[in-house]
Amino acid sequence: MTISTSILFLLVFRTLFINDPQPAPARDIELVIDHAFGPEHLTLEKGYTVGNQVVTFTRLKYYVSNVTLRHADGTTWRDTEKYHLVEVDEETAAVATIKLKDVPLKKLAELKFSIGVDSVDNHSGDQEGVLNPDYGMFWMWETGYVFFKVEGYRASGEHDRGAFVYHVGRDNCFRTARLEIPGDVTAQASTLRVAADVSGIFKGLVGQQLRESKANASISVMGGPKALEAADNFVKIFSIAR
Amino acid sequence: MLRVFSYQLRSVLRCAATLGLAALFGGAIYVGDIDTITPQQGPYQLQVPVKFGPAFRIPDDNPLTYEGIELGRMLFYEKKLSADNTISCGTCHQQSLAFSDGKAFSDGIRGSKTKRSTIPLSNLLWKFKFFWDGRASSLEEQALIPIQDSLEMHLTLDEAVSKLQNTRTYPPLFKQVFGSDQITAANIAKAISQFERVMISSNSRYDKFLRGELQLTEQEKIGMDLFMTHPLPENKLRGGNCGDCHGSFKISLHGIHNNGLDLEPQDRGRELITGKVTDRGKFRAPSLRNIALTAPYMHDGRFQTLEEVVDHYNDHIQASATLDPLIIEASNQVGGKSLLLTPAEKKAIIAFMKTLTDSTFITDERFSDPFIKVDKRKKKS
Repeated sequence: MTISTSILFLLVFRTLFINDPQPAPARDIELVIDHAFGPEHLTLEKGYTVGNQVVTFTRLKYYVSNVTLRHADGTTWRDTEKYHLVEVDEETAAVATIKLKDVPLKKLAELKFSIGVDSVDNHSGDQEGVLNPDYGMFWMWETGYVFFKVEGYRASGEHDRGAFVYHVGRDNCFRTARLEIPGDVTAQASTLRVAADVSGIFKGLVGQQLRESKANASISVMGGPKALEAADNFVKIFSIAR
Repeated sequence: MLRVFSYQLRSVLRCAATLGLAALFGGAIYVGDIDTITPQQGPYQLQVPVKFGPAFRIPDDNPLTYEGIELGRMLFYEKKLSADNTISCGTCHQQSLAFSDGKAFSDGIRGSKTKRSTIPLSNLLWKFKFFWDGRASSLEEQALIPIQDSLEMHLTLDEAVSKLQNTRTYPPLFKQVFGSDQITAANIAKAISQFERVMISSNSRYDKFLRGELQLTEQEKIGMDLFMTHPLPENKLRGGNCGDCHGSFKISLHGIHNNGLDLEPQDRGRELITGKVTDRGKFRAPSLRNIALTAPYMHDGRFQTLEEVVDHYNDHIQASATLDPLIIEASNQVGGKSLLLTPAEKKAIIAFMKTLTDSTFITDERFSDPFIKVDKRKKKS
């Protein structure tokens, strides 16, 4: 084969097989997380009833990571910004918005995201961006991250008041939410609304523990089986809003 | 006379600087009645300590420049910014005490006392709430408030502007930094903020330990782990519970908390700003950098020593309705009603807090009073 035929072959091959694809049409999607307690919009420093307890949140803060969208055609899109820190405070009014940039303009089938920091980054010391220790989510003494913080007060009466502090991290508490996106969400949709009903945090063992707590007892969940259940509960508070 | 003479020599001296003759003047060029003009000009090369990270924002309309920082330094120490020319920012924020003043309540104008203790200054670049009650959300906003406070410097902004405008020194410096010799309050605030943003403290024994330059003692290391740890007795994890509010490598987070000082606080703290009873007795958790230098402690200076502070958190928490859950819940014994640290643990935590003293920072000439050198020079001449 002469050099010129080789070049010709390469050119034809390139044209036929590795033709640069036109960038697929894309749009940005706003992933909006609305925090609520049951039917009510979540407000910090406000009492909500769980069983015979009244709980009041003073802090709700967590990492949303590895956001992935599966399209109806089976392809997936992955957020290049791996970590987002969500914090409910007075300014944000319990609505968190995460911008998903350049998502192909295709019909969506599933939203997937994790709560926390994956095992690779959780063992790489303190890091940049929202993983900076400034955000108060880094356990300085064991160089790992807190995946979510839920803090507040609990009371079952005037003489039984305490606090709850859930600081949950460690690899075995890393959880992933998979939410099916309903068929009526169009391919052009630029907003995806997710409801987060934080009353779910208290379900199961944790709720049980709240009910059984002794007078003035306070509750801390950082490690151990309670943390695993808290993580299980936390990831289930999310659903696609209708 | 010296002042006038030097002022006329300003341009000559600048030429000298550019000719590299700075060395003749001991490394700094003295201009006017201050020693602020350095050979460096233009955009400031900010050195951010690696562990401190990029979680800060410099306003687009107030970029750091060498000239802006030096002007800010002069204004920080400028007593003309008070009604009777006796008080500057530096009066209460003294460098040798890590920019605090050693008093429970600070001395304001004409013998008055401030209502709260002076907060030490360092690493303000990373802060976005200021004052004990967090009422200002930028340094620019903060800087003008003590000037106007009737208990502190007690000038209207118009008076402050006019006093500086009527000097020979300041109009050309403002022109150099902001492009106009018409001084404005906003530009006063900007210059002071520039100076404050470069007051970075990152050379304590703790910082050197983080950089691998030295080892902490066994006691200091135990103290560091306790300091940073929220206790979890079920898992046999002991903690001093300090890091939840004074965390990160800067020993400073951004929270505003009720830390159990009083059942019925006389000073209602953040409630006075927001009007919410849920903010009663809440104050900003300050940085504990240089904490060994900044007694007395708390917003009202009620504690004289670090031992008293640790005893407060260990034994004397007052459980009012707004006491922070992080304090209510924390104990080193299952079901414990208080923190329950041992005497040795308390000592270790204090030993760690003493590693946060940065002697470089409190002697760094870049942050010192530029007017003091002149006095020395005058005495010599």
